[in-house]
Amino acid sequence: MILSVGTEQVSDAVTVLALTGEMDRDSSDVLGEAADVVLHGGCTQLVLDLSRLTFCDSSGLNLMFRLHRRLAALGGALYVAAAQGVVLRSIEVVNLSRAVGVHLTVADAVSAASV
Amino acid sequence: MTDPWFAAIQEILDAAHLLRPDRLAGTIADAAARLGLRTRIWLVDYEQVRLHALGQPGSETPEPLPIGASLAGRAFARVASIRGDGGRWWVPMVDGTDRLGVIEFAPDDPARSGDDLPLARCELLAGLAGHLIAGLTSRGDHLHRARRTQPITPAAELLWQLLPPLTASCDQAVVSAVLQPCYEVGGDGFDYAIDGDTVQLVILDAVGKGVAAGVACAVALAAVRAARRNGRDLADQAQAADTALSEQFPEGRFVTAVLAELRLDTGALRYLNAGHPEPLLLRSGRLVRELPEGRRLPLGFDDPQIRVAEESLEPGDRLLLYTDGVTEAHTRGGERFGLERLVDLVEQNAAAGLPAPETLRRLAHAVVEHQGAAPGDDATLLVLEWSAAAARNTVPEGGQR
Repeated sequence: MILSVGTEQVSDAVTVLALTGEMDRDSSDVLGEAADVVLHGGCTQLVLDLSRLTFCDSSGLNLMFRLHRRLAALGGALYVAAAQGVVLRSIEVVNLSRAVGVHLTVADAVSAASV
Repeated sequence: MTDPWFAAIQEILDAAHLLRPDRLAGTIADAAARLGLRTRIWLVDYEQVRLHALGQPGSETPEPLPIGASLAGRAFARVASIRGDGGRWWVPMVDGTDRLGVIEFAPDDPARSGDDLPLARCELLAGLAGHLIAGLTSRGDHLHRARRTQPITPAAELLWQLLPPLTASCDQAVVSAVLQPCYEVGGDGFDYAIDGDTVQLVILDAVGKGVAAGVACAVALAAVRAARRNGRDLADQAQAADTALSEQFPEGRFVTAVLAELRLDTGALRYLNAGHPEPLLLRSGRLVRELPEGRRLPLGFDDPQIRVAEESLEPGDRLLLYTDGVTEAHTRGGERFGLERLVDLVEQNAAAGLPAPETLRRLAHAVVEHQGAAPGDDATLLVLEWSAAAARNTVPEGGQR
């Protein structure tokens, strides 16, 4: 498994998914499944902790846009936090911040999500 | 008395109405034989590595010739006629300025010297053959097959049928593109339109691989093209792609793109960047800068806040668009091809005075070589050169006598 996802529920609505490893076309399903579980559990404010994500291809970025679309339809939002190196660069190239809150730290993202 | 060359051209054009694509080479050879000439048509393969002879009755089909190491290849690369041995001439064959291959002309009497060949007329005949091949290709599969050295995937087949010719020029500008891997490409695409004083360009990169990526790219390309032909501006073209992609892929599937429009009378450039690597502005063979404005979300995700960016180009400038498969191409050891190497190669080739399509062919091969056996993403390059001299450089003209 090149991608693993840890789940931490912060409140009824806010959950942090922490990604470790590399996200590509094959491995991004792991995030998709974890997100399905927390969204079905009532999460509307989803924070992705990318601090230990070392690579993210366009399939991974596409999944972030999909999650943004699903959460927006629920009246919620997606937040991404602590992206590093090539992952941060990929997020910047696709202009993700025009749709999604992009935060330097997980704490910043959680407080934005908890307002 | 009728000019025998006029009669030969008439014979070929009369035959073309009902011609089967596999008979084209023989028909031209028969007409040329009445002029005391032997002809052989060579077509470039999709990967632009070798030239392949079309079969014709009464002679064995010779082996393919490498573009990088033959006189035929040199004529193809430079879009210029080149003298060979035995009184032979290698004459470039283009459709407009799209390089299709070369025609080999030789006197049917080997004792005759090539000086006797009326080169300007041979070039005229090659021009006619180029147009005929472009027109006849869709009549059957023969000419498609002649240019393929491997089986092609459904996604690549879909894409190639959508794309315009790789090169098109007008008196003031050249547009040229290259795509790799040509038999498996799926998610990358491009389009352009040269009309009046405006050149419009789009480069596209759909997420994922295979048919799904090919369909997403096709949907985006068709939406942009339809909006453009309906007279809509850049922002509307992008929005048309958003709508079409959202309808086709409700769960969300994005296509990154740059849409650009250059005024040939003023050099005013307008562009939008939908989550794609930044366009490169090259001047006098050097990178002036990456164009950082005009940002919006990738196509497929509506972004109402967009502002079309503006930039002033100078005569002779090049605008280079590329997909990340170019710069992200890496060796097994992980060494990226990178932006610096891309710009260096453009500078070198520009200094060598090569036609735009030849520069791109060499860049694409450099990317493939860099990767070696490592699996690669689609890699596409699209260049717009705002220069009358560059445009003339894509047209066959005279011989190198």
